[in-house]
Amino acid sequence: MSAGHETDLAGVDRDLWSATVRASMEMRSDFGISSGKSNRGGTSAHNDGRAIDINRVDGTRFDDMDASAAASLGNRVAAEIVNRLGGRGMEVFTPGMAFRLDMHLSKTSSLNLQGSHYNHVHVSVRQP
Amino acid sequence: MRVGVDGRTEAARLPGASLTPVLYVVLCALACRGGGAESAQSGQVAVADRANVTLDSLIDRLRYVEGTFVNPVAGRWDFTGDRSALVAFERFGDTAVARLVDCLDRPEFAAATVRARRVHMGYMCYAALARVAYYEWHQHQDVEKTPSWAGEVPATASADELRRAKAAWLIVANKRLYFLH
Repeated sequence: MSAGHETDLAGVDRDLWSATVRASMEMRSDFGISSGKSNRGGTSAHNDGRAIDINRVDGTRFDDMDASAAASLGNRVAAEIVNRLGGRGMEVFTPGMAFRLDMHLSKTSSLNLQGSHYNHVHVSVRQP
Repeated sequence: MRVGVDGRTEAARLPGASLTPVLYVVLCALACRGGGAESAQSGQVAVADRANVTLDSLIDRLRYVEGTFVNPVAGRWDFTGDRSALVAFERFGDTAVARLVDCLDRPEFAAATVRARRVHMGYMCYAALARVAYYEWHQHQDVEKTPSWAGEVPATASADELRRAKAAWLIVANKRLYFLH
């Protein structure tokens, strides 16, 4: 696991962090984390450490991968994390898919969110 | 380093270029006082690098990079040309964000194309900005009411769309709401 220079991993939700580490171990891959806990105002789940962004796997950025490879790998990363969250998963946005577990997203929203995440995986959890 | 249309560098004309000899002298004096010839050499390279490869020149270079933007999937625009011109901004972090946001509305055409038409210079700045930073707009607005954000633009963006993108990014940059890659 590697983190960007402004990434606060210590404040990441314990369940989310544990799931991310175990996913990384399962995939035998180094996840590059571009954001963990970070106060960005508004209602961002990053504010209280309930979201994590992964923008690289084994040192390669998603936007440097072929689009289909980025989609496939992004989905795998997200699935490996979410499946270890015990039902706390909330937002799952990757280069290959975008959905929320706590509400239905319209097709337009889903497509736009997926498009916005062509370069990173975003997973967040509900409040404990 | 500024690269002209003829491919020649114009580093000598950069405002900082004339300072380079002075910086060498100052750096050498400092390094020699510390007694490290090796550190003096590596320091000289670093200072020269900083003096010559400025953000101004990197932005100017964007105008002349040839290549095509392709759209393999919705929301993603890949550049087929020399991507190092975009990647070069990454190490400048917040400083690059500020400069690139400022040039998002530049309407002149760049050498790069999309669908057989030249892209606006502002889009080149956007493509470089996307290498450095991203903004999770969905964390700050109701995605069902407003399922997009003006700060994200396609390579086919018009000058008006780029102006709106700049306005959107200025808010995000001033409040430091973005994340660095």
